[in-house]
Amino acid sequence: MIKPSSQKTFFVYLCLVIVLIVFMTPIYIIVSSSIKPSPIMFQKPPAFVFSPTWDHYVALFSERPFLKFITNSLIVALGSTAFSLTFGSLAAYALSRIRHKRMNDVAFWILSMRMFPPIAVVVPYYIIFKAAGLLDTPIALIIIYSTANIPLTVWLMKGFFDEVPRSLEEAAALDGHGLLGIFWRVTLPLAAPGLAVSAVFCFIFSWNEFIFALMLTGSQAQTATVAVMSFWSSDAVQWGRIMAGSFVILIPGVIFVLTCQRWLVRGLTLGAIK
Amino acid sequence: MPQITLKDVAKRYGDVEAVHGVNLEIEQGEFVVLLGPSGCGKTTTLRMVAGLEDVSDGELKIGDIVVNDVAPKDRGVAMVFQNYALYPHMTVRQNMEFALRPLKLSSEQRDRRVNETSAILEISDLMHRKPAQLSGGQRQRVAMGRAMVRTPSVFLFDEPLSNLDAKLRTQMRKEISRLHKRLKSTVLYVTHDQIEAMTLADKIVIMRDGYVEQIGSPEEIYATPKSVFVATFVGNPSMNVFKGLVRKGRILADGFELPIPSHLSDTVGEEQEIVIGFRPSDIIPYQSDGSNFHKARIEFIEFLGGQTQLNLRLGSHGCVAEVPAAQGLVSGSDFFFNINSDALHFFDVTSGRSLH
Repeated sequence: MIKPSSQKTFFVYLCLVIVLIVFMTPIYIIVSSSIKPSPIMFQKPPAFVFSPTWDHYVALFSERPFLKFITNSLIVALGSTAFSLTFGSLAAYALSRIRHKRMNDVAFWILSMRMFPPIAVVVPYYIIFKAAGLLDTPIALIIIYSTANIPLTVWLMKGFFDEVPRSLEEAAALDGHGLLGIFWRVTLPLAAPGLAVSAVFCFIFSWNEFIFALMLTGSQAQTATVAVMSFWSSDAVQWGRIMAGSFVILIPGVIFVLTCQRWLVRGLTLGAIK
Repeated sequence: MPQITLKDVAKRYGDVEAVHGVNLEIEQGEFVVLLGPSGCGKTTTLRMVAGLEDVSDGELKIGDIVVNDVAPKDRGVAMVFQNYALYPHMTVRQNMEFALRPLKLSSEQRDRRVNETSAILEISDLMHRKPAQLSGGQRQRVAMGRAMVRTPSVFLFDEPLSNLDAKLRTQMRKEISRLHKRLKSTVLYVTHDQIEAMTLADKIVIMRDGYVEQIGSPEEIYATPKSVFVATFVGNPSMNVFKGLVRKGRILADGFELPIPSHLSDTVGEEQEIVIGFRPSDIIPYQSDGSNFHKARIEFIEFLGGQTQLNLRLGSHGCVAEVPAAQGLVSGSDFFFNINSDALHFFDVTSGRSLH
């Protein structure tokens, strides 16, 4: 006889297991395929037991300068994240604090930047960056990703700034601090969870982006996502290398999210007022 | 020279004027309380002094400097907020140090000031806690400590005790009074609680609808209110007010009549309507040798310990009397009384201003 409480627990775990299966199956396929010898890659039924091989990983880094592509990806993703957080949070602070009847329009206008389908603006961007001499540079990608990341940051951070009581800033002003000091030492630390969430979203978006990176970079600024796809040619699809590349690409994202996670705490402003 | 001077200071939000031409002088070391009901403009006035609101009109001086356009950080004022506004991500010590940071003191000086202030406020053993780990009373002390540690020339308090329970409020009230005597600093204090105002203030400023109704010592405000509003706002239970008609040397009110006091006979004319006010404590129960008594019906009795509060029906009006306990009174019976004629207040019926 199952007690109601353990029945509930059972269903919670059942749901968790289902969700995990859905999410982890692709990861399992990536990991297992990346260490499977090529001949048994498409064996039916799939081989669950096999002697693993590191050939794909070795090929990944020896046939192509994959480390350079990873570095490019890191530069672009971290650059865009830093740029978006800096300007996005400053803009969000202004939107949160300045009282004006057109402020909602400004906020919406910023959000509307995200409504472009990327494919629609690829060609204009190509022409612009060609003219500016920025094709195949990380700067081009940082700029483009920031146009998508800043609106997201602005909207996320505005919500967090709205939650920081104004009286704290007034208290800091009376304690003798200027506007920037107040923002840096009082408001921003209290909106740290918002910064962490924004950073995660900005990083993951920039890290995973494919279309712009494919169209606007060549040999120099190519990112890891594009590089992986270069193993897919008209002659052959080198699944082992693609899977190995995919697994390597997963790692920095996971590390970044885990790093940001410790800032994702609720109730930072607890005890401020009342 | 006054420490703070407000000259025709007004505040407008768009077309709405919230504070109308306030004139006020606060001397060095004076404890001034702005008292009034919600929305009377007292907090707005305080925030203008702090620099958190712009002054729309008039002149605001701290010392001999006009500070209308001076940023809050350069005014040399410290403020205790109604909701304390402690920095939640900092410990108590950091909260206090944060206030000292702009002064660019040496670390020894800073430590000495923080330690002295925390000792005065008896919060030394809380220094490593964060605001969330403090009780309401402790937060209140920390908020005061953060203001005190800068040794400002002016302290501003915005309803600092309104979030505390009754017992703690009384305790903190005494504490604030003690600190003021010790630090001899200039204080501008906003409250809607008349007990706080009466007990703390050297000078009370009563505000209503953005106007200053009366400025005076607590005794003056209580004994000689200049308007019906002040008369009824200050004092608990509040003053009884009746309309009366002057006729043939007497004032006729609903349910009772009085002779016109001699000092008033020149200021009022025949058939003039006036407002009569008297405090519940100035109702004297009828004694056997009393000659000229009034009669009312007791509606209900509230026993308050040392005193008994009688809710009377006098003519068609309600009226409150405060009499010594144990009078053997019962609800529904008649009550005979005199009114202390020295304690009567008379006001103009249209302007509400005192006729004295």
